[in-house]
Amino acid sequence: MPKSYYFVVVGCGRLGSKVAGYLSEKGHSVVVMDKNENAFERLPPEFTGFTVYGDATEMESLKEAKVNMADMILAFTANDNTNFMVAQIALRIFGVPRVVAYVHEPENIELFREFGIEVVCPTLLTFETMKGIFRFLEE
Amino acid sequence: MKIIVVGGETLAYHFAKMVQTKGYKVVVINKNLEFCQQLSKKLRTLVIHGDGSKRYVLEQAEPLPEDIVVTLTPKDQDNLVISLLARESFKVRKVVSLVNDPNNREIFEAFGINCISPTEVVADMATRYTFAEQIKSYFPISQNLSIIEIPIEEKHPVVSKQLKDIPMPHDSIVGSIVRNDEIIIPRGDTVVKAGDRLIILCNTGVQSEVLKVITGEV
Repeated sequence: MPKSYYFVVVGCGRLGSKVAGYLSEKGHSVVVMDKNENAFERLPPEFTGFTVYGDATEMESLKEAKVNMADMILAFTANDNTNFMVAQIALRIFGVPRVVAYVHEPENIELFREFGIEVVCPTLLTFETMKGIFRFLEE
Repeated sequence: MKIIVVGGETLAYHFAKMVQTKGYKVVVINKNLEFCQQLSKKLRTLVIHGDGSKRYVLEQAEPLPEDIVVTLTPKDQDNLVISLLARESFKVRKVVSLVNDPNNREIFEAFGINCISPTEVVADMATRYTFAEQIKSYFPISQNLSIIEIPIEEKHPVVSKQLKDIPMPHDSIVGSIVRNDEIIIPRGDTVVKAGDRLIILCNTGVQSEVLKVITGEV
């Protein structure tokens, strides 16, 4: 049986909840954190992990989610700066090996990458998809 | 050399005003339009309306390596990003950041950003006050260092004594005596007078012993 990893998803939004369900289904340990209790309602039925109600910019919440034991942190809140700080704390203080952050503003990507955070930027990703759609223009 | 103040409101206003009075050039960046408008009227200085954590906004202040960037926003994550942006993208050498949650001090220090946590300063002063009314305390440089100011009264046992005859505990020293607005850096033969204000540096652990020796009270 393949190894089971420990993921912490910060921000139970559209992406966070979907990813949490996906990882749970694959048999991994998942903790989802959000500062809004209602957000957890988004979690799909296949989610079998734990939820932590708290603000990710507070060390206490991160400790409660046992970030120090995570194999990967997914910083998926609605705020780029929050995602940045969570990612840095995870990397530098808790020694989490891999950190992925959702970055809304393409302009911020450089700063994230410079400091060792892997980035998913919806604008850029969607743009790549659009380029595929526009390929017909070259024919 | 200029000082760029990002975020904050009341604090940013008073700080910018103070800095300007001392003759420094100051640039203010703030997200609140009304605040920006009021500020530009009160201080005749460049005020930029925008989110200082975005490069294209910070850019408008034209940060240079010799400038000082001070971030005072109520959100530590914004302060962190602004500080790093200033340092990495604009090569600003001196960055000072407000840290609202004392627990976040660690991450700022991991990046080598100077930070001030008002929460800790206030809590520290409040707790020290409850121990001894007659002492005033300065903000700690480290958890273990206390810098205290003791006003000397006639009844205190150290009045008319030479410093070398005062049995100060280990790990404590009278760093300075303020007498009638004059600063004296004392030596062993300096005599303590009523009305003096003694500025003492000591290890936090011996603070109460210092008080006992100087004032005779526990």
